[in-house]
Amino acid sequence: MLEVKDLAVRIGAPPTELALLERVSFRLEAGRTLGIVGESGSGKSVLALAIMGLLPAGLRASGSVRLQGQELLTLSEKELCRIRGNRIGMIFQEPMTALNPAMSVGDQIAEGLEWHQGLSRRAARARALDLLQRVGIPEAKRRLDDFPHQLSGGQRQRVGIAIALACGPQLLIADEPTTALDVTVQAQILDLLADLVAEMDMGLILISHDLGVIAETADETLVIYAGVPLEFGTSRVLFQKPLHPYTRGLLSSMPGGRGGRRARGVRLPTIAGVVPEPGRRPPGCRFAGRCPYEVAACNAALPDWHRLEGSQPARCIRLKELP
Amino acid sequence: MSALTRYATLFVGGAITFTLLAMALLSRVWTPAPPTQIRISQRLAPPLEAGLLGADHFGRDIASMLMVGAWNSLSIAFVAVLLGMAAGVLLGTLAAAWRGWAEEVVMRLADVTFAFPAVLSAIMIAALIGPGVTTAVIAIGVFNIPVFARIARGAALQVWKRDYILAARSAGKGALLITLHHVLPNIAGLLVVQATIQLALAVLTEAGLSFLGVGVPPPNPSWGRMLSDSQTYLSQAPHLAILPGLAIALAVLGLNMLGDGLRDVMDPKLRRKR
Repeated sequence: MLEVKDLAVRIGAPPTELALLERVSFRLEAGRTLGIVGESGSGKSVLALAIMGLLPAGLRASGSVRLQGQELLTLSEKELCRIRGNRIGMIFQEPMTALNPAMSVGDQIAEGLEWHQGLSRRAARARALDLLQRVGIPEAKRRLDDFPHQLSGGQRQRVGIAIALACGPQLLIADEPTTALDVTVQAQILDLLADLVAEMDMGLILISHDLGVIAETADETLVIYAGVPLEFGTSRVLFQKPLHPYTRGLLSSMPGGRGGRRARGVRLPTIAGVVPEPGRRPPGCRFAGRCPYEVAACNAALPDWHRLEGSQPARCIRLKELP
Repeated sequence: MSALTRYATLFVGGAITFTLLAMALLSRVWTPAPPTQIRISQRLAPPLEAGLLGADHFGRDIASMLMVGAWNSLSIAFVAVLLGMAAGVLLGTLAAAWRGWAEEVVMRLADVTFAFPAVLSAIMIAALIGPGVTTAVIAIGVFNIPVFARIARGAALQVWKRDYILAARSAGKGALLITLHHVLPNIAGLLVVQATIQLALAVLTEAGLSFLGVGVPPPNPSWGRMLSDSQTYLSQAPHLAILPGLAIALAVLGLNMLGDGLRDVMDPKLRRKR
């Protein structure tokens, strides 16, 4: 349904051009969830904006993004407007700032329906009420005329989901949808998203820095580091048997993560160093310099996908030699 | 702090403005005496000797003239600011929505317009179409366009940076729809406050224009012309100058206080800083 091929996002003019994101390719089928995991600055949000065609001025996307066969990157702004919110919905990190404070939540949900589907005000309002009920807002009828500040954080995020779902999109992009929420509310929102994906047969791209969130919700996981995907596989396998040294490092630095509970008083392992900024990224493997298994050949060129017998692919030339 | 002291500016400004507005509206149906009736016997009569506030050099009742003058002054100011605000907000928000060369053109035009004081452009317009109410409205209105264009653009640019605009764009809305549904409601408070303050300025400018003879034509009374007529009689009948001067000062003070008060109510952040 969604096919991303060799997507790259660059900034600046050719001599001093910088790639914020490169060599991103994946497929997503309807009813499935793709988790995209990476640290801050790895290019996760840029990826989401590139798919939506909402990159800030100065950033250029190249490659190919096809939604049901239709190429999105070459569409005009006008054509994109017809797709955004209609065939692709987006959920944002901060439910407080992603809602218009001067507009009732009912109107904000109804707006897209009137705009994209030409519904009458009444019909859109009725549909907004259905949506509010579907995303689990209690006393939805009364809430319809509430303003965002009258809702709790979790309820606001539910409203954000209702807005994204309003037109029945084929693809839903959720950029850190639970990061600003309490842990208990987080779980509820993730459950809701999982239900909706199954029920409405959408594809969901779930972007998060939280490995727990991804492991729980995503069917497949793409690990991005410094603008390049390093490992891609079904979540169950990837989280049990991570191959790339970066993914391994990430998982072992999770409290209570891989290897079960750790004894009290034992320090969590960390990955030495920091994520390099764009422009200071190593020429070869982006993880070189922080990788415990680095050899000279790692810096020669960006590694291609390698895989062990029957395993998921990982961008590491030493995959077979790793302990 | 009680509500009364916290909102003192708002209440006092509101009370003054409301009183003047009531006088202006009342003048449409009733005045103590016909404001244009000449009674030479009462010429230059001091307050309370003829009518409540005395009579001018033609023996016209000053209280009545001030009431009608309030109507003229406030209605011209109101219409002019409204027109200037409509045009200015339209240009400013579009500049913020489109950015690029459109923004440059709008803002540089605003700079050029801003360089001409309202009084100067009024005299130019009066030279073209003759003095009168229309001239005053156009001159004051045009003067208000760049003021509102700048404020609307600045505020709109800030709103455009918010997440909910990105959310609106991700919902497929174009720049015009976003401006209408998301930007305008979020800058409306600021614009209302600015409009109140611009009203004060417009009242003052209108008085200046009538003083120079390019505003409301005689015999229709106006504060500015009452002031200008009073100059000759300053030593004989100072109330001829003091009373319209007081009316102008009160109107400007009232509207300014109302604007300040509204700003304090609408912008809690600003209030805390004080």
